[in-house]
Amino acid sequence: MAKFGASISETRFVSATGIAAVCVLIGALFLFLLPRDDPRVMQLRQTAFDIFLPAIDALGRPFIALRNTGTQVSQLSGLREENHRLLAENEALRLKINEMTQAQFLMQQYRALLDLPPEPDIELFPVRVVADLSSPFVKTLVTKGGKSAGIEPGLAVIGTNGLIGRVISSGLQSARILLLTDFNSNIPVVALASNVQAILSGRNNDMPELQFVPRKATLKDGDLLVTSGRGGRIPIGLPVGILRLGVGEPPKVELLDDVQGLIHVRVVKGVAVDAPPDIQTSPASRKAKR
Amino acid sequence: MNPLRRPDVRAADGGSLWLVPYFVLAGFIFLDGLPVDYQWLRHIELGLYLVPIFFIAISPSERDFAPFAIIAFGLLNDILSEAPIGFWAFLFCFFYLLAMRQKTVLQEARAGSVWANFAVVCLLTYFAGYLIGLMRADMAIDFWLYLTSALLTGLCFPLLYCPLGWMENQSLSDPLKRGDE
Repeated sequence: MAKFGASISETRFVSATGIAAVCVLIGALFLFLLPRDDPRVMQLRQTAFDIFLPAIDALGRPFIALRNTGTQVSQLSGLREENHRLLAENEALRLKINEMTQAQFLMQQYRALLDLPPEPDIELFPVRVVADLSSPFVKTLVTKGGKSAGIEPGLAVIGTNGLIGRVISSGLQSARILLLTDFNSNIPVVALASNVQAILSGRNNDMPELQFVPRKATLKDGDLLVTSGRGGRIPIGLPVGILRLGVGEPPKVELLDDVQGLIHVRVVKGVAVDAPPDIQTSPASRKAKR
Repeated sequence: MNPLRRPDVRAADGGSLWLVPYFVLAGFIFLDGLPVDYQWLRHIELGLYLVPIFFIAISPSERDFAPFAIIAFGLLNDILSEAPIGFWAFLFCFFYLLAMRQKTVLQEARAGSVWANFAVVCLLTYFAGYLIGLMRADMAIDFWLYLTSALLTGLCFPLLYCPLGWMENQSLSDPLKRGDE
């Protein structure tokens, strides 16, 4: 009887070691000849995630459930303290709402005075993270829900407290999010207190760096960074992180959200903003341009 | 189960159980991107998939297609882990090649020797990965983290290898599942 799969043939042309060596060579050829940023490779990755997403999701669910249960159990002991903290936070937030209502009213007045076009509405919708691909090569997340859920490349993604990245590709069922910590991530930001614009660049570690800071700019340690909206893909004003200045090293940013271990994120949908309008232009000249 | 009712899955050495290490390997590849929130585990690159590859490499039932399956799994891992295409394919095959060269030595070896052998081959594979990282601009591999990952992978070896070995012994000792006519 023929033994399926077993190599009992005595007339083999290549030894098992030879076959393995050829495979090593093929792997090396792939590694050194195929560019990583090849669009076909990107497409292949996205298609693979679309195909394997159900398997990845099904295998990961028990672990996620276990993790959630563990978190809940560990939180039980601190419920009373947590309740006190939340009550205090709630009170502080109510005060903030009053301040924000005032600020919103003032903003409307200023916008009317400057004849600014209306800001596009920001729509947030949650998506579930099925894979966190943090490795020496990349810092990306894979989410369940792609084009079918309206997720398009370029959309901003926020965590609980602020921006965490942007969508780089989306398939039918899945989407890939490039985190702010990735080497290839470059996001235009502005430091609120010092009003300095710069580019936030990932360095494959926990703290991205600020680049292209104007030479005469004075940065302040602890300054809040928000998105500047330059480039038109990421909406203006999304909080990003806190500036940390060190001696003899480029300014680093402590992100507001812990970008690893996230299970749910929110995609900022339906925003296609133009570059921020030039506020030095008078309303009259803008009308003339139209 | 009556093996006569499932003649298509019978093989020389224990039904379709020889597929189990391949399924374990696929499972580890799929689970590699599981979102974890343990600070200490974030930067560790545990290579648990090396255990089933080691098992396949030194398994007495040699299969010619095994290296091709290993490279295919390596490419799948490259795609799903967003590594440069060929990185894990190369390392998987490199590891497989090193491990299969130890097969004759390990046939009658004690468990401790098998473990030590795995640890050495694992370290060599991680070192090869580190060297590749040095040659590429798009990879930032921390040597000490990689070394720690290799050692941790070595420590996890018995946890996975023992069930696989036990399963193989069971399948080979079960006369109903053997392909001998």
